[in-house]
Amino acid sequence: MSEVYTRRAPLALGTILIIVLILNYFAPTLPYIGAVASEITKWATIIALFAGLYAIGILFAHNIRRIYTRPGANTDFMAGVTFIGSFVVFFACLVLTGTGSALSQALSTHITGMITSTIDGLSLFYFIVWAYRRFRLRGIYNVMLIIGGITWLMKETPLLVYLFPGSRTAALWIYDTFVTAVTRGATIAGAVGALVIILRTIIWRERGILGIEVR
Amino acid sequence: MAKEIPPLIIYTIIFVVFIIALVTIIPTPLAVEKPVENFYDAIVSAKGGIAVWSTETQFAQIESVGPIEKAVLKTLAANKIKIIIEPFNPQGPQYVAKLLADIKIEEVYGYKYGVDYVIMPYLAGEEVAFAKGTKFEEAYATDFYGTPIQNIPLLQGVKTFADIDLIICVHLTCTWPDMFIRQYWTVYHKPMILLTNGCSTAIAPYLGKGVIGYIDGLGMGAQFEFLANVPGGCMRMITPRSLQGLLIICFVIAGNIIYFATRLKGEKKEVKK
Repeated sequence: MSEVYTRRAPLALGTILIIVLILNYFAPTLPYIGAVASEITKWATIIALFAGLYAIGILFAHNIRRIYTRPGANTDFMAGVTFIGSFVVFFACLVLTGTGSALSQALSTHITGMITSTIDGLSLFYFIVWAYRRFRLRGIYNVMLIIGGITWLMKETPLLVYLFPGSRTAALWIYDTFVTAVTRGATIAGAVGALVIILRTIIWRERGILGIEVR
Repeated sequence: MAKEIPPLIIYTIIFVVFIIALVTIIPTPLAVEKPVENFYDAIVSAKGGIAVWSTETQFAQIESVGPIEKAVLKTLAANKIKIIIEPFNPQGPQYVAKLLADIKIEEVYGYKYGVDYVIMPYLAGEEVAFAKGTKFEEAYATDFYGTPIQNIPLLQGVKTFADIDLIICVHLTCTWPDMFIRQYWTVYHKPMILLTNGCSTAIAPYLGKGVIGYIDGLGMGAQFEFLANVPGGCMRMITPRSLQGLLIICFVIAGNIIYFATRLKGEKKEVKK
């Protein structure tokens, strides 16, 4: 019975959805197909919202558990308290004043915005140290990585573009020749792979993740 | 044996350069790249028309992407392009409202909410939401402030993406250009320009094949400000950006000198043995 719930039912549902959406994409003039596809996408949006709510619930429960089960462990305890505290404050403000209110905007700008900008600023220190430690001419792959990376970095550094105009030409040549070719190849390969998986799903030959997560 | 530079010394140097970047301006001429030029031309071509601003940015990006967004929004307003904003991030509506307030779109450009621009509420579901969001009446019952969309003048004659003139996608997730192409360009074939930060590689397959132009990061943002004559936050970042690039290159060179010096000494010791 569980096999029906965890695998066959989702597969059957997935197959129907895929067929309807493919028909809607390639033959939108078919009768009723537009309305059915529209209803499906509407439900997908609703499900996505509920999935978000579910994720919030899990985070909330996890952090409450952290506070109660590990009161002695400072880092864990403080992380839990910070999460719950900020969640309650933000939630109360957003619910009481509305998401478009000046208070909500101030909270987002002066707390979320400032904290994330600070983290971004701090990450600069780690990026530079990482570049210093890892960009070593150790082998052919590293040499290629460094040549590509430094050329692109020079293009992104206005002063260096001014001092060495050729660096920009070189970077754009790498982008137009290698990057475009490789990413186009990867995109086409990915698309073909996705198509194969979809076809296998439709004929019930692809297990995917269905059933695995539930168990 | 050559020794590695201690992290504390590296951090101190970065900090000093960071301070210098805050108080110094190195006048640097800007050369505008083709994708930026195309981006600007696409906006000018849509003069007086309607644009969709499909965005995933939020308050976390107010310093890194915000200046570029403001420059582009100013240019849209200067070209009298009406804007339908579709946020695909929960913070998106408030964030765009702040950007528009910062550039004083109503006071400086005479824009009126509901007539010249409208902010839609957050739509969840990524690609499914993009597909849904192309049909305004099906996707939304109200705008972000709760006004039924039947009462919004801007949306009276505009039902789907087929009725708009330009699509502007603001994204930081590098897998999103694929989705924009699938759901926007393949279906509606409308001019599409992308604004991102670090995703130019993901855009590469679609340049000239759906995507007309793009801006990637503050460097190209500064070029756009220069081209559109809206000097602002991006141009102010030119000096810090130059110093940051120089610093990284200097440290990479130093790292390699130390690496080879260490290897050379190691080899000499082996020969002596």
